[in-house]
Amino acid sequence: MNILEVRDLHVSVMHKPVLRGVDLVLHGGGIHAIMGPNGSGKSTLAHVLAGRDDAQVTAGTMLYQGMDVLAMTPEIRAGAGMFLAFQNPVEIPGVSNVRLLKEASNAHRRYLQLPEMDAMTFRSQLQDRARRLGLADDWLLRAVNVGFSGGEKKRNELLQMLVLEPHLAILDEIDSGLDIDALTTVAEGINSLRDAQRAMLLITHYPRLLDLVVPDKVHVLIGGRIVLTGGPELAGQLEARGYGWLAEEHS
Amino acid sequence: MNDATILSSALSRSYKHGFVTSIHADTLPEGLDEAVIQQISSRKQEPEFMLAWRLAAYRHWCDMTEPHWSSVRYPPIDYQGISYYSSPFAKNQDAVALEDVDPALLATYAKLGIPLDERLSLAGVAVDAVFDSVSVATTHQKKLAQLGIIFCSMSEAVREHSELVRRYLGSVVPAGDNFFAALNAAVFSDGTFCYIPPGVRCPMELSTYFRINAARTGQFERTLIIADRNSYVSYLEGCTAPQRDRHQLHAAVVELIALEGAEINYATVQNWYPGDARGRGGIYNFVTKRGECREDRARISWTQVETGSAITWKYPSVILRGAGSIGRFHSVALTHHYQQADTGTKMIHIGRDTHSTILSKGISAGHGHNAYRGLVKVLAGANGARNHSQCDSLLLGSECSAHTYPCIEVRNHSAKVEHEATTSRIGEEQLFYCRQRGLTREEAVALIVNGFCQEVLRELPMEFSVEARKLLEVNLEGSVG
Amino acid sequence: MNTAMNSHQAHFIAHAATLPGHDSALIHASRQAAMQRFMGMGFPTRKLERWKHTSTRVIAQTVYRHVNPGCVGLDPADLDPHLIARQGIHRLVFINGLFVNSLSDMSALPGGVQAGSLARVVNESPGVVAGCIETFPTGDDQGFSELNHALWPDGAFVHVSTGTRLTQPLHLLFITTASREPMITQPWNVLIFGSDTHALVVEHYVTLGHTTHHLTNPYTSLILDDRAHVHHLLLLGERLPANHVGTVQVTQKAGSHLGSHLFANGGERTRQEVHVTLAGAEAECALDGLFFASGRQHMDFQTSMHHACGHTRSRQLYKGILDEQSRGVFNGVIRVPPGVHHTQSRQTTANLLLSDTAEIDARPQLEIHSDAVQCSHGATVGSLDPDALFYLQSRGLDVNAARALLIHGFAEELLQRVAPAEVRGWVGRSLNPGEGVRDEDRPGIV
Repeated sequence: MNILEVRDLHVSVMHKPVLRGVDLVLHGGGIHAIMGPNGSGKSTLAHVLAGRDDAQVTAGTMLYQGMDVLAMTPEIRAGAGMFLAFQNPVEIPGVSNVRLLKEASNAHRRYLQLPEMDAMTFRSQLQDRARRLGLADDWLLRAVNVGFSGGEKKRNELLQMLVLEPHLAILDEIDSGLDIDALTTVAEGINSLRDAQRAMLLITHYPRLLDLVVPDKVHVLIGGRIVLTGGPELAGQLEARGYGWLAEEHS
Repeated sequence: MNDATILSSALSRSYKHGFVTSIHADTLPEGLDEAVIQQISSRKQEPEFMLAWRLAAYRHWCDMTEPHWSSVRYPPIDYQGISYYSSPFAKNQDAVALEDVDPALLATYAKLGIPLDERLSLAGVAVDAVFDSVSVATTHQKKLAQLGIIFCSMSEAVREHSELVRRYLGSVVPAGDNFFAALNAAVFSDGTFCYIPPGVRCPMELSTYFRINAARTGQFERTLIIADRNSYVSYLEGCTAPQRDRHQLHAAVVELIALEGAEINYATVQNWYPGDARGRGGIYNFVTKRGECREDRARISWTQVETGSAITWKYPSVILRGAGSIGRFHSVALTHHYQQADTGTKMIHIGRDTHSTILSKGISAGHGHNAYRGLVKVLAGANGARNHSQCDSLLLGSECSAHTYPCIEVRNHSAKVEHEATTSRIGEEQLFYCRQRGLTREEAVALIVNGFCQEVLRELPMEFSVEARKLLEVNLEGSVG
Repeated sequence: MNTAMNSHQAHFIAHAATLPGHDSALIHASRQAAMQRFMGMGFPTRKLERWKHTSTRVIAQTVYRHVNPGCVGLDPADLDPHLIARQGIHRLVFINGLFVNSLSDMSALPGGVQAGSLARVVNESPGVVAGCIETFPTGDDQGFSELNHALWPDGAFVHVSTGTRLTQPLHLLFITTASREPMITQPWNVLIFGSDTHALVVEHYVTLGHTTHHLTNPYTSLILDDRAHVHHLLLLGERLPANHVGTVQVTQKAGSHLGSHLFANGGERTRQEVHVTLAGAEAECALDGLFFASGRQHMDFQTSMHHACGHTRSRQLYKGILDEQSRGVFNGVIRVPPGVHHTQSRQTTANLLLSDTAEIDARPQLEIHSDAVQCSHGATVGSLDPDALFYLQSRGLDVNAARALLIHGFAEELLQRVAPAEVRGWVGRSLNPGEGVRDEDRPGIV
């Protein structure tokens, strides 16, 4: 079964069409990259998949593991294994990372009708993962994203993904604001989750991430449509030539 | 059981302490006059000075008018329609051995999670349980007595430690201080007394658990805590009442006295019956709480989580008289449905180098009304006084309101006073972020509200902190549109 | 009821038939109703929440003379120290509350701007003030404005018609002259700005010569129509025996912008209220205030910001500098009623206490009934930072210079918001020694 099947998706934000007929199919084990210039609709696609209600789906279908995504609330989508790493993760004062992760991970387990994990086991697993991402021990006690640098926020998103082990990970510019060492760590984290049951959608501006996490397919999104699909080599071409030539062809 | 399941079960229940205990009670008829006060005093076998003090307060009260300056609104209270004394014990018998206490009463406290049998009780917490007008049991008294700590009901203190009572009672909140304090002084029936001798660090949390049971009674308890030189005590107060469709009055007075180098931490988790979703019934919680750092380097800290009551009207205050003394006020007030809270604090800086901190978090949901009212006063002699205040309000829904009335009066130029306040609502982005991680909208709101209150909740002792979080969640039930 | 109140009523009864607008049913009814309310409530007392810190006892017990001694013997050169510039500035001059044409200069007023005596305008066409009468604040603490509404003998009338840009400042100069017995002046100023107008108006109160105790009780109505862009400077610089109790009532319509700049250093007792109603979407208001009190001066500033409409923004910054035995009060309220969404408001008050005996009472208040808001306030009270003083001293400044520099820095933020530079410089000079209260030993703030 396909993990994600998007057909002819049209989306408007504040009555302005942003996505104008997007088709996308991801199989288990598949990693697709979506590239495109600013304002092409990349983040809107990510938000719509996760269920953000300020974007309205005006036509088309989205199926996740055969289920109609549109009928699912954001938390049901999350429980079913869809994960969005936000481009700009929000700050939540007073709520520690460990608290959010524990609540989130138990919500997932409830969805799967699994017993909840006891606090000690959870904590030790978490610390282990945090260390692997190079996050200091006091990290878990800090409030979610409050006072974090751009890079710290991205690593925090990745940590959440590693804990929640989603079937579909949508990573919206997970590479922005990262230096090369951090990028390597993040790429290792992403690769560690790679297996035949999972699919990933990487939204990015830069091909550098795609050297480290090699996708099966690269889609170019311009003006709300996928105008070109190719193999991993397409990323390199885009770096060399930019988007201008594609924009002209499809304007 | 972890937090999330506590929450989901919490969200599906309503006020859980709303049951009534059916018990034979010795209740005075409704109404108030000097004869009633004489009856209360004689039932408690009080010394002469107490009766005189009560009667003076009553005469003063008769000349006072009920204050209406706060932002809370309620129909007139009929002070003659209230019974001022209700005891679960037989007449002239207000102190009994635990074995003799009516089992229904013990069961009540067990049901509330407060076992009065010392063998079953929480380790490290000594409890004085007040049921309607009288103290029913005080635990761990013997152990505390070995350290010289006096922890008993107010009635017992008036009889057994009358010198201390005479010296300190009314010394922080005088009998005629305000309308409700005067009423309390006239009719108070019981409460908790606590004395920590010099140099003693009280080894366990002391606590009072207040329960209003009888209908049409008011509860007027009085608490007096004295921390002698270089002593330390941490004190907890919890409150519940049955679900009744008439409003009931609770007008308590709490006085704290910290002598040189002493420290008192006073925490309240107030969960009186708040009334139903349409605003019927519930407790009027009109309380005067004041502490005095009477000598140098004393510290008093008030921490309160106010989730119950139809109306909360209280301003736990600190008089910073001793040089270098410190006052702190940490508050969370949640109002939902038709609850109203007008709460805050007064920090009166008299001595030099006195410091105070105010942290107030107000949450309004439904038709709830929340007001912070504070006074920071620096008198001319308070060189080097410092205050920092932070008042934040969170609004959930479009029918609720939050008011902030801080008042700053500075008479000394070396003082430094800072006040910050914000009013905001939960961001849609925060909600979406949490939901994307799998939390329901309700769970997300509870989590964010908990985060909003975090700085205050962590001031509470562990057992209370857990209780307070649960209460916040319960009381937010149905607040998410 | 006391003698003083009776004297106001007697004046009203004696002069009702001659006061401006006496022919107009609208004006007459407004005066009559105000007089009745005034007699009902009297002068505010300290029992009222917003008058807690300011006593009106002296005012309430003084029998004031309402008639004005005119400008007999006033040399136009006497005005010079108070003028922004001798030429190029539009100017209306009022002596003891009455318009004086001979001292005024409206020669360069552009077409579309009407400016002059309110008494004259109201006698000719009373309907022009109907809109302002509707905005009079009510409440039992409004005794002073009621007295003004009942008895105002004159004041400024300014009307800037749609689309007009007033490029030069308009200076409204109110002068109290020497008098031997207590006198009251009560101008009502009506300032109406049509859609898409631009203007800078300076409302300025000063004293000439030595006066006894007198009371200035002005009331100013400001109406900003859609997209009007207005700066209103209020300079309170009367001499010591003066009592000044003033009210400014602002109504702002959609897309309008008001910058209100208050500077006060004069008077024995000063009380100024500024009430703003943001009545149209995208209306924006900035209220600034800087006050400097010394000696035994008492200054009390009250603001209320009413967000009556969604998508409105307000900002307030009031700073007080208090020396010697002076006393300052700031009481500001932000109100957002139910159902009003997407408002932003910020209110800040900062106060410097320069002496052991100065006092400040600050009450920044929020009354919020809507959840879709961003609202905050802050208040600070402190003295000059000893570290900063030491730093400046270590750089070679003596302690007085260092103090003056720090005080200057504290005040500068508010002066910088005044434009153009010519007016800013003039405001700075007006606040300096030489214009103020006790001239020699007072540290200047600029």
